[in-house]
Amino acid sequence: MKGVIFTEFLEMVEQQFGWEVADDIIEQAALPSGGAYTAVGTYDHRELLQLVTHLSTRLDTPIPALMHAFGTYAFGRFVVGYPHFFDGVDSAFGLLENIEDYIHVEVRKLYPEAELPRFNCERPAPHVLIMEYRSQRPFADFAEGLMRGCIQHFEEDISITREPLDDPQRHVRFTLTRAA
Amino acid sequence: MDDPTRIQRRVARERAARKAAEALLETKSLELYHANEALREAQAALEARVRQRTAELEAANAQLRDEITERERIEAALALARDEALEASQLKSEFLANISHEIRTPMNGVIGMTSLLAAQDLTPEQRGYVATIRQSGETLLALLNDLLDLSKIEAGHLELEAQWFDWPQSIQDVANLFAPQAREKGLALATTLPADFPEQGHGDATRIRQILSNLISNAVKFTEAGRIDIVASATPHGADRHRVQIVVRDTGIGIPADLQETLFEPFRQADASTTRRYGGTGLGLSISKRLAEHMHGTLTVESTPGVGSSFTLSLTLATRKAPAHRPAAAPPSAANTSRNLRILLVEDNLINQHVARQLLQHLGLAVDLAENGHEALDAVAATTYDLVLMDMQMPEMDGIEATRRIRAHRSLPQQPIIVAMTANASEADRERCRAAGMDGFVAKPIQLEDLEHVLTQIPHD
Repeated sequence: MKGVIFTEFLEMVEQQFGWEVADDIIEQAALPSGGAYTAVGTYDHRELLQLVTHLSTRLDTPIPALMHAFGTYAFGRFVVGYPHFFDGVDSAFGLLENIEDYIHVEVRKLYPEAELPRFNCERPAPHVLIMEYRSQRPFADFAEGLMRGCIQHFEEDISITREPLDDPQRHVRFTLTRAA
Repeated sequence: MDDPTRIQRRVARERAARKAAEALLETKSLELYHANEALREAQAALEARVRQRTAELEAANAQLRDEITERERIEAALALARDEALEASQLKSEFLANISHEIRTPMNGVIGMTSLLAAQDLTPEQRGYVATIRQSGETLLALLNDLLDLSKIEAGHLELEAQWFDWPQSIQDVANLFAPQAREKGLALATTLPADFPEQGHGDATRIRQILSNLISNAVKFTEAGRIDIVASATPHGADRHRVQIVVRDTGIGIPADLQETLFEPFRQADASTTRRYGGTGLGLSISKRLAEHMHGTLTVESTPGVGSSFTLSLTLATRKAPAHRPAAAPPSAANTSRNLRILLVEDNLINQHVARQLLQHLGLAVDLAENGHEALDAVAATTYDLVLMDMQMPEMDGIEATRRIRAHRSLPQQPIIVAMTANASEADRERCRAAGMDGFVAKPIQLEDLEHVLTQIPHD
């Protein structure tokens, strides 16, 4: 998993819960990397799961809620870090439909070996976007959080319904419906 | 331990540095990616271009191959057409030569009989008729000779002799030949030779004389008043060669400029009325020009109508001074004809037999006859002859073979003089005759004077 996810996660923890919390969960997790992440590195995704698990215990908050919150936070960071992905895009659907054909293409230019999730998009109606999420990692909650962050960024009124397919965290259909 | 705020500031600086490094790395990575892409695209474009050029080259090659094939096909067709045309031309020339030769035999009879008739007691009126017949016959023969010459030249069969000859004498002889005619028309005929003119030339004197005869004959023919000048000059050309120019200039009718170009083509005269007025075959100049060219020379004309014409023959030949000792020509012995000579005529053609027999009888000589080589051999074995007149072309055994066998006949008490009777023999034919053992030639049709000349060559017992 890309290092940027780890660095953003730890920054979020520091900002929202203090650097002591961040330090604690790193210590508790006894990670192979020792918690020294760089955005351009690649790390085992299970380290993130361990960190989230320890945070969950510490804050007494369920893991899905934490992953969802992290997704929303991470989207805000992407807006700052990668403004060119937003050039000429004026809606949440516009950006989400771009993930597969544009954003992931750009990511692969930098990291050819990256194992990225798949998003198959469908527009059965102008105000409905169906996104079929398929990943090798159980991060459907994180993905939903990102979607939510995206909707907030464009300040739109869109509801998300979630329907597990083969695996509730790895293969999920999201249906996004924009209010009329 | 430091103040926690200081540590936090340090951590924040380190983090900022890390992020800057990460951003820089990503920027550089992206640049590298784009550079790689550009390289890949350039390589792909290059490969595409190479493929395109290769395809173009292959197409060009294929087209070239097609063009070569096509050209080879055209060349083959052209070669075939050329061969066919050459063969047709060859056949035409051979036909002309054959037909000319065939016409000679009856002409032989006409002219031979005419010379016999002229020797009879005739009234002046009859004598006039005979003279006209003879003249017409001779004109016809001249035409035949010209046709034979031309067809021989065009068929590429012309053989030139290469022997030393007396240059000044050759020119003077031809001029002398036409002196009587010029005098008759009241024309001055003058030959100018520089003192340093080469004494001897190496080439075909007969053909050179033929050209000069034609030029001077034309000059006399087409000039009504004034003069004819034959002006020769020579300039050294290398160590032992001279470029010789002979100009025949007249004050005759001249030739219009537009007709000078076609003057040297066969059967062309300056205009159609010329043939009616002056006669001639119209072949003389074209033969002369071709002969000159065969000798690697030129024949050119300059002319102004009403003022005169000037023909220039230029030849570059090997030259030398005459050898110190020139064999003096033996004076012909006279009155051989009165001797009782034994003569064998070998001739298969009835007309020719008749002509020769009559001519010899006119000279008071009896003659035996053999119709082919076999009969000639038998006759020579049975009788000792002073002279054998031998036709060249005969069935059964030709003149060459018969001569060879007579010469090989060791038991003969005396070898006869053998003279070939031949029509227009080439140098190669003459050489074959000499090699077979013949002593001389008389041209057909046989004329009284020729026979008398041959008889004077026979030594007294």
